[in-house]
This record gives sequence, structure tokens and C-alpha cells, in this order.
Amino acid sequence: MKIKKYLCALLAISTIFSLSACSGNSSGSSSSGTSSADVSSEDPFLTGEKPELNVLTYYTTFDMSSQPSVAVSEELTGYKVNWFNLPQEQATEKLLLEVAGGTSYDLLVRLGLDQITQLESKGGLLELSSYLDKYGDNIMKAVPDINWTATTGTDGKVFGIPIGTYDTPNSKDNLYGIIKYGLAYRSDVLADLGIDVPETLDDFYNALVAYKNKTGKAGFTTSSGAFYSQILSAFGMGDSGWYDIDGVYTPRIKVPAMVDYLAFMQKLYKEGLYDEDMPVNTGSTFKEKFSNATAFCAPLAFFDIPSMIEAVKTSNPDCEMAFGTPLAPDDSTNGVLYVSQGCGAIAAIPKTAKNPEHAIIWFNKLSETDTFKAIYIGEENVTYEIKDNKYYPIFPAFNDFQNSDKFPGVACDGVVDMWQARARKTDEMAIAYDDMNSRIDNYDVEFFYTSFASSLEANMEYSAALATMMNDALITAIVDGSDAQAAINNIIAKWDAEGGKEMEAEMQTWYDANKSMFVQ
Amino acid sequence: MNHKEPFKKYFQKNYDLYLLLLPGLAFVFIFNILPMYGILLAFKDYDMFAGSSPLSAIGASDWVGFKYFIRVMAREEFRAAFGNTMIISLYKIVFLFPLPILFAILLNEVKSTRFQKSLQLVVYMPHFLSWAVVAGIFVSLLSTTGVVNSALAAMGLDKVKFLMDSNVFRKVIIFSDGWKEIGWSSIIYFAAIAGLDQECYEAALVDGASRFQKIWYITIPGLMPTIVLMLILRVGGIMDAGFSQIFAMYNPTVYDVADIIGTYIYRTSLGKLDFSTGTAVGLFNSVIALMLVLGSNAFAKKATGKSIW
Amino acid sequence: MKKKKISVFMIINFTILITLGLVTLLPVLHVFSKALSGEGPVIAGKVIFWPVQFQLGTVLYVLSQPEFKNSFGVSVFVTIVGTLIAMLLTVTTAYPLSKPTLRGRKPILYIFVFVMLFSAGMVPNYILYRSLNLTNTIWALVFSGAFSVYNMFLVKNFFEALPETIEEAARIDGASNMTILFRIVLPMSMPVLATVCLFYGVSYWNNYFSGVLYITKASLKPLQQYLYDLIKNALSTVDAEGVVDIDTAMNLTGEAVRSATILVSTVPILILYPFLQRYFVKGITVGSVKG
Repeated sequence: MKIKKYLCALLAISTIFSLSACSGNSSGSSSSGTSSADVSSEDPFLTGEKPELNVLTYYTTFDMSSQPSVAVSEELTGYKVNWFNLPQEQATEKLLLEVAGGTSYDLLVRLGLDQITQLESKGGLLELSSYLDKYGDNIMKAVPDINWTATTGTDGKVFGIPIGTYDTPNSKDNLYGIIKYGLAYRSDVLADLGIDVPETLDDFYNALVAYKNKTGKAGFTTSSGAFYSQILSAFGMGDSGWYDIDGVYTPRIKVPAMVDYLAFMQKLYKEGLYDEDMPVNTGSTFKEKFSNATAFCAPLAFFDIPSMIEAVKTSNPDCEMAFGTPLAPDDSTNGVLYVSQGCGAIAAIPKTAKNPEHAIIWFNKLSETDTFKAIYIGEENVTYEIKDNKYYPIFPAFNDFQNSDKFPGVACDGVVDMWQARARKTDEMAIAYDDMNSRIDNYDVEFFYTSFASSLEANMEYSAALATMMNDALITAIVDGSDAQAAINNIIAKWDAEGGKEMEAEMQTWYDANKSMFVQ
Repeated sequence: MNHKEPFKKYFQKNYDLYLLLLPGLAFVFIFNILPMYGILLAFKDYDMFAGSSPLSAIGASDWVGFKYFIRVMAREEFRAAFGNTMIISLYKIVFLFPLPILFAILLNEVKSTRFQKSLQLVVYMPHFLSWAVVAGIFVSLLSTTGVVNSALAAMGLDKVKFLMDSNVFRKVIIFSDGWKEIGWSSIIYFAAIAGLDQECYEAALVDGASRFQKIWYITIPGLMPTIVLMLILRVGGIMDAGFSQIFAMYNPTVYDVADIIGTYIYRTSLGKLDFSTGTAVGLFNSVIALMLVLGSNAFAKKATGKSIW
Repeated sequence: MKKKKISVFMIINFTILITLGLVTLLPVLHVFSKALSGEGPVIAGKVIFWPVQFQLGTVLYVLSQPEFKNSFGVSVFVTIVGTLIAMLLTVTTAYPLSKPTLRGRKPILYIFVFVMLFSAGMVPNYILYRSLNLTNTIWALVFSGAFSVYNMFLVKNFFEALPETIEEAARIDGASNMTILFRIVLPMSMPVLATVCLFYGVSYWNNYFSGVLYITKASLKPLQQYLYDLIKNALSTVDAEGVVDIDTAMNLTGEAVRSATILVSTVPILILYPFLQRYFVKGITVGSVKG
């Protein structure tokens, strides 16, 4: 009797096991997919039935399938898409496992260059040239020549489509909008000290000293990090990790001015002008200190304003936020802005794809300017409007477009202006953004293309670990205040020993081969 | 053990015991033992695409012996990390292991069951917050402008850089781990106390035993099997000195005392696709853990007569 | 006289326990208060143990997110079904192993200890699930974690400590092993069963990694992964090269929203314990053995 009861349980368990083993859906099994064997002169891929596409993209906190852009995209392209996401952690491992394991995705979209290159080096991707020739006219039109270098192998095989970045201009003709990050100041403190927003390194230093003398507190606070482009600009550097010094492509740790930068940061720290807790500060703690008037200067972006202004007002309802742009070395010299040029995200087709032709046709349609616009920002005067050549969003209609940036194709002409509709989400953001960018002429602007090199061998092997090492070592040096030159020498020694030398050789070769294509 | 019966007869009498074992063994065989083949990864240059599937690729990849083991362990930072791992784990065991037991015993002495239940509810809550969240709380509390330091300053004492001072950081780690887990870890001891035979207590009461005598002669011996088991299992986890915790709370200024094997490997394999090193280090950790478990089990048997098997 | 003694001890005991209670409660209160406060005060660090600018809006917003509801549902299903399967497997394995006379006991125990300490890692597990066609199914989330050797040892240990006399009496009456297990041993083991049930439940609820490894469909994302993406996303917007993905950076979740999500994800599992508390009742074994 009891045995029966027990056997029932055993039966139940084994049924569950077998049911799941047999009926479990392996992801990526696409359904219909038919290109009929009809021998008409029309291309069956273009005219025939459109299968459901399985597309894998990087992680999102929201569900791709439930975004409003899906409906728009489906209507305009005629394809239904099943979306899949990689996780946030260990994404590359997961990507390789999925493709090696035979899971069938028709398109991989918006993945990193290093991820795609890893896959390519293992032979996991299809050659795209033939598909692009047939079905990719919009894509070919939209991708700048230099971008193709990132996704073309030494044998000429095109293994990926560089989608480009939507928010960065790639020519110096129209630089409006490149300044997004600056130094935020509390207006009440500035008024109290009787100074204007600092523009040079000395102004900055003096402001902090004045604050310290008056209140005894450290005026400058940041989260845990060593490299701040807002201050590096005063030393001739910026976000770029590599600099051309007399033709030698040099990593930033070996740039002579880096010693001066470190010395300056150490000075700030030692004199109590820089938040003592910097190494332990998280993204929230430094904002706390800024908002509750412990500190009065912090590196922030224009889009931090809506949330920060509320916080700041809890300590002083009359306080506003003033934005300074990156610092200049002195009154007579311009500061430098380094703008990252990238091929942005990549689209590629794995060998296990069932519908490569359809994938390209679909993506091609998404790269067509009108379709792109409709998906990305909608319709003029309905979801957005143009005032003084600037794009502004119209609410509430524009709410549907919050995540629309994950859906269009290759960056088309004028996308940077379109992006600004998204940047001008609120009045304060728009004002701060336009205010910061009104000062563009005070800067020398340099483009850097190092993200194209991220798929090179030594880069993939060492760059992440080296970046962490340098960041950690600099933080320690700032805190312990030891001789700046000695500290930098130590870091350089580590750099050389842990793969830096290989990276330098590789980057030099890459630079020499490609610099003619860079915008100077 | 001398078996008086032949196995066949034993089996006929007790086949239902083996039947009961079947689902568990089958499950463990499929989900735990089959994948063990993958431990080979530690000894190979794994190329996932070398075969027609990731599985056959394991066999197809090149054999490299102990290359990855040596590569990782030759580094001085690894040895330092290993040292930190052992030290922090040991501190945690010595200082934190007894606390939940004490807590369970103390709480058991309170007569009001309502108080007991409410306090239990409260004390196990921090366990559910992730370390990312808890770290943020401790950073706020312990920063130089935070509550604790302000209190110290008010009392005329020097401020302490809790999270940046190598002499203090480990203590912070241990304290915060204790705080987070004491309630949760005590649950099993409550369960054990609840399972104790009440007759002993009644008899002791009749004999006029004091509170402390009851605890010493009844409760603690009653808890011994559980304590021994928990200690052995805890020792088995010695190679993970608290990765999630340390990862969330450490920073470069305290790497020398807080960098453990887990965090060191994490930092150095960032951006690299290296399954072999990860598997090798995992294997290394497991072997040490196994030795410690077997050792402590044997020791426990000798010392208290109780062991896992 | 005796009363005085008890009082002093009780006072000290009480104080210690209350302090412990406060020390553990307050930080949790802190997180929950942030969930019920306005974004401004939260960023400014003005929220300590009580909401400032109290609002339910944030929590309601979180509850209304379809992705949240979906992940919540996934985790509830996985936790309930998983715990049931796990309890069954654990109990049926622990009982035979608690019998010292079981033949083959030692080797079997060694196997389990080995399994507990050795894990083959990401790749082999993925390969296994892929071969069984379990990837991107909810069963992948259910089976990974459906048996914990650690928990099995806890149960076995408890079974071993039970007085043998009851079982012997039952055996004399002719009961089989199965009957003894289900009718006698289990009812006497409520405390440990409740404990292990809690352990499994919490382990399933908190599981983040299975989603990472086996799932790419957003509809199957477990709650902890959803939460992790939300929080981590906000904590680091900069990748190794120092360059930001600007649209992600612009759409970061606010602190209050993060806290609200934590609150809403934690409360359900917190509620589980009170339900199980009644099983931590002393004296189940009283009166069952007389003579």
C-alpha cells in the first residue's frame, strides 16, 4: 500500500524528468521559414513568406518583446522577431556556449566588437559580403569606410556590420552636442565664495582652497576612480587610452603629463580638498555628499540633473546646479576634448543561423533612413519637433520611445541630431546640455578610434585587466601621496610585465596602418 | 563491519531502502556526476569550437597538464590571496561560528514564545539583502563623515578609516558578516533545540538543576551532533572566504589584507575567456576542502565520537 | 531567592537580545524607508530609518512593471515546484543513509561528500542542460538546485538523533521501511523539515546564476537576475575603457526605485518564515515513547 504511494511519487518524478527532456524547447528553433522552390525570376527571399527571426542581443533591464518599438518595426519591415538576451555577467562566455552548442539565432545584434571577434576567431560567423551585395544596399550606404576595418578580417572576409554610435558625430563639421560630461557645482557655494564657475585648473584649485578655508570641508568629491577627463583635459589628455607622441602611439600611463596629473590629484587629496573617502565611494555616496552640501563639486553628466536637482534642493531649496565644462590648463590655452569614435555595436550572423538572407533583408530595412527615423524618434510634430535646428521631444507621445534606441539599424545621416531629441527629455536637461555645448569653441577637439582596435589579439587578452590594474594603482597612489614619478614608474613596470608591451606593439602597428583614415 | 547475512538476503528484506535511495542517486548522477567530466578542462587548452559541440570539444582540445595551475599559483599575488583566504576564513570560523549557537540558546531561555518568534523574524532579515546593498549601507555608516566616525569624534577619539585601513578592514569584514548571518545561521540550532527530548528537562527540573546546569548538561550535549555537523560543513567551505561580501566591500587600498582567491581570479581574468584557469582554481579549492572535511571528520570522531559518517 | 537570580540573568539576556534585534532591524528599515521616500531625499542621503517625503508611488510603479511581474511569477513557480521536488529527493535519500546498518552506506556517503565539494563549473553544466534540451525552459531553473547534499546531511543527522525505540516498536508491529519513514519519522522531524524547506525555498528564490547560464528568453528571467540587472546597472555605468553606453546611462533606475524593487522582492520570502515557525515547536517527541 505504502509502496504504491511511493511508486506513484517515483512515477511522478520520472514523468516530470522525461516530459521536460522531450518537450523542452531548445531556444532558437525557428518556425515556418520557407523559401519555396519556385523558379520564378523574383527573388523568393524578397517576395516569399517572411519567417520569424530569432535575434540575440545584449542584456536589457526591460523585455525587448514588449516595447512599443516592436510594433512599429514589425509594421515597417514585415518581420516578426523573437528577441533573446545575453546576461549582464559572463556574456561572452554565454555567447560562445550558445553558438558552439548549436542554438540557432538568425542575427546577433548590438554585441561588442571583442565578442564578435572572439566568435569569428573560432569560426562561428558567416561571411556577409554576398548577402550584403544582394540585400544590403542601405547598410552599405550608411556604414563609413573606416568602420568596415573593424569587422573585416585580414583575408577580406566581412564578418560583422558596424552599427555605429548614435550620439557621436563622426566628422568635425558639426561638433555640436559632444560635451555631455562636466563638473557640477552648487550655485549657493559659488555665490557664497563670490566666484564664477571655474574654467581653468587654477580657478578650480583656488575654488576648492577657498571652500576649505571657509568650511574646513573637502569640496571635490567623486566615486572610486582615478581618471577624470574633466581634469585630464587640462593636461592635454582625455578619455582616450592612447596618444600619438611624435608618431609613437603611447599608452596614457606613459604620457609624461600623466605624472603631472597624478601629482595634482595627490595635491588635492593631501590638502584635504578632495574627498578622503574617494576609494570607497560608490555611485550613490558621492552624490549624497554633493547633495547634502558636504562637497560642492562633482563630475556629473547633464542627464544627472533631473534627479540631482531634487536632491540638492533638500539641503537648500534655493540652490541650483551650475555646470562647468572640462578644465583648461590656463587662460590662454584651450582645454582638449577627446571624442571616442567607435564602430559602436556590431551585428553579425552565426553559422547556425537558419535564415541569414532574411536577417540581412530585415536589418537592411531598419537601416533605411525613413524607417530608422520612424522607429528611433517617430514622426515630426507628433512625437518630436524641431526648433532652431534642434530636436525636442513631445510628451507624452515620446514616452514610447524611451528604449527605441535598441531597435533601428545602422546609424544613418543626421542621427546625432535625432539623438538629441532623447537628450532633451526635460527642460533642465535641455538647458544644461545646450549651455555646456555653447562652449565648444573653447576646446581643441580630437577624435580617437581605439575602440576599433578592441578586437586585436593582445587587446582582447590584456586590456581589461590592465585597465583595472592601472585604475587601482592610481587610486592607491593618490591616497598614499608617494612621489608621483616613482608611483608612475612602478605602474609602468607592471604594465610592461603584464601584457602592456604586447599591446603597445600591436597598437603601434594598427595605428600606423589606419591613421590615414582618421579625421584629424 | 561484519555482515552476518549474505547481501542477497539483506537486500530482499530492505530493498525498499534502496528504492528510496534511487531518485536521489539518479538525480545526483545526472546533474552532478556526469558534468564532472568537465573537470578535465583544468588540464586542457579548451577551445569550445574544436569539436562539433562544446562536449566533444573537451575531448578534442589539447592536453596541457598542470600548465594553468602553475601559471596561477606561481604568482605572488595568488599566494597572498591564498593567505588572506585562509586567515579570513579562520577568523570567521573562530569568531562567528559560536555566535548563532549562543543566540539560539539565549533566546531559548526567554519564556515568552511571542518574543522568541518576533525576534527570530527580525534577526534573520539581513540575510536576504544582497551584499551589494549591505556594502552600500556599511560604506555610508563607516565613511569618514559617517555616523560612526562622527560619534568617535564627538567622544574626542581619532577618526578611523574603517574601509581603507589595512589593520581595521578585516575586522569590518568579520563584523558585517556576523551581523548579516547570525540570525539565519541560528535557525538550524533552533530546530535542533526544538527536537530535543523534553523529558530530560523535566527530570532535571525535578532534580533541582539550575538554568546553567540545564544548558550545560542537556542543551549543549543535545546540540552536539548538529554543532559537529555544521562545523565540518563550515570547514568544507573554507576556500570561499566570502566572495560576494568582499567583492562588494573591498577597494584597492586594502587589497593586501582582503584580496581573496575569488576576487583575485575575478580581477585577473576580466575580459579574458579562460575556462581552464577558472576550472583549475576550482579544482584546487575543492581538493583542499575535501582534505579538510575528511580531516575534521576524523578528528571529530576521535574527540566526540560523532561524525558525518 | 531563586527569583532574584533569574531576574539578573533575564535582564542581561533581554538586553543582549534586544540590541541584536535592533542592530539587525535598523539597516533593513533603512532600505525599506528608501523605497517609500522621494527620489531627492534618497539621493541626498536624508533617509535613515524613516521615509522622507513618503510616497507609495515608487512601490506601485515597481509592482506595475510587466517585467517585474513576469520575473516574480517565474520565481514563485520555480521556488514552489523546486522546493517540493527537492524535499522529496532529500528526505528519501536521508532516511536510508541514516540507518547505520545500511550496506554500502559508506561508499554512498563518500560519493555525496565528493559531489558536495566538487563542481565542474559553467561549461559542463551548460553542456548537460543543452543536451537534455532544458536550456531556455523553466525546468532548467527548477532542476538546478533541486538537491543539496548539505541539506541532505542536515536531515540525515536529525533522523539519526531520533530515539530508536519508536521505530523498533513499529517494526515489531510489522511496518515496512516506507511506512516508518512516512508515518512515523517524518511527523517527528518537523523542525528539521521546516528548516530545510526554508533553506531550499530561500535558495531558489535567491538564485541568480541559473538564469545567467541557462536562459536567454526575457520571459524566463528569474527575479534575482532582474533585480541584479537593475542594481548593478545603476552602480556602474562605465566599462573598462572608460566609455559609457549613453542611452543606458540616461535611463538608469533611480535609487528609490531600486530600493522599492528590493523591498518587493524580499518581502515574499520574509513572509515564508512565520508560516514555518509553528513547526519549530518543542516537544513533538514527548509522550511518544513510554515504557
